[in-house]
Amino acid sequence: MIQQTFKHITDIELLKKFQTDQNKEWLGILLQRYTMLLLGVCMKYLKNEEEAKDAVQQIFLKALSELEKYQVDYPKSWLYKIACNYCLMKLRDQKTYLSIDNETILAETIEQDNTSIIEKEINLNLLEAAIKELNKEQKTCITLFYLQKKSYQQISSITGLSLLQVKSSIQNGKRNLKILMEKKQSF
Amino acid sequence: MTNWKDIFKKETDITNEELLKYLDKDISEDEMNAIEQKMAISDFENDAIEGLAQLKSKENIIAITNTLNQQLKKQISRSHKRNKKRKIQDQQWLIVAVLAVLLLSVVGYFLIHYYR
Repeated sequence: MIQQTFKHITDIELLKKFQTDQNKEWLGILLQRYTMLLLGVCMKYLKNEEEAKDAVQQIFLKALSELEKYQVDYPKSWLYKIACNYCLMKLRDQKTYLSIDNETILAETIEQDNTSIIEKEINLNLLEAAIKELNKEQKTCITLFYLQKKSYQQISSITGLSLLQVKSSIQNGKRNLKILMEKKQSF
Repeated sequence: MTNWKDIFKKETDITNEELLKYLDKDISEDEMNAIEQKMAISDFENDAIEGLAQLKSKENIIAITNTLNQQLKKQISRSHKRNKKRKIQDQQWLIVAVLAVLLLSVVGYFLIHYYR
């Protein structure tokens, strides 16, 4: 109900309101927007419902205290980083090792915050040329996903790749496309 | 060819309702692709969906989320009350200090007049 009332207010505006009157209710509204997402991230890494619930509470506490002290420009990415770091620390304490590349997570989050030249102005000819240079798997997945609007599941059925392979082909394909386009634009 | 532009589309949020529908697979293929395109832009949403899929049911996710939100509200109202209490305590000291200064002034005034 409260979330609906303040739906029109952006995260940044909520932070500004908090900075003006120091009323933590604003931070509460902001954090509640991400409760479900934070629960999901904690579940992904910790794989235990109770631990995930505790983790979200700890992340809220950390966020409430840090937002009082520091200025945050991208609250959503910042919360995601806090959640990942918290879970990874917890796993490190439990001596559980993950197969994911943690540095990639943070690098990708930062990457999302920066609007690159490519995102501002897409040259379709360059894009078409860059797509042709992708490897077969990435080219097929990107084409099916963005041009033919197929879901991960459908792409998996068509290509015979696993869901994880489909997802990573799309992610890696996108990253390679950016690199290729930036190279082509600099010429 | 316009669909290619979606590759570098800027991040847009996935609502909780969309998340739940996606997990329930209660949507058309087009809607599924639209949500997955948003997931492909944001690691936050992508990880969250993978994690939420491990929970028992949609109802369970909603219940846990509501509980966590309630706890957050309690936490905030507790800290609000604490701050208020601290302010009142600070004010109490201020009042005591002002009264003490006033009292000393009055006593001083009478003492000076008495000894004249």
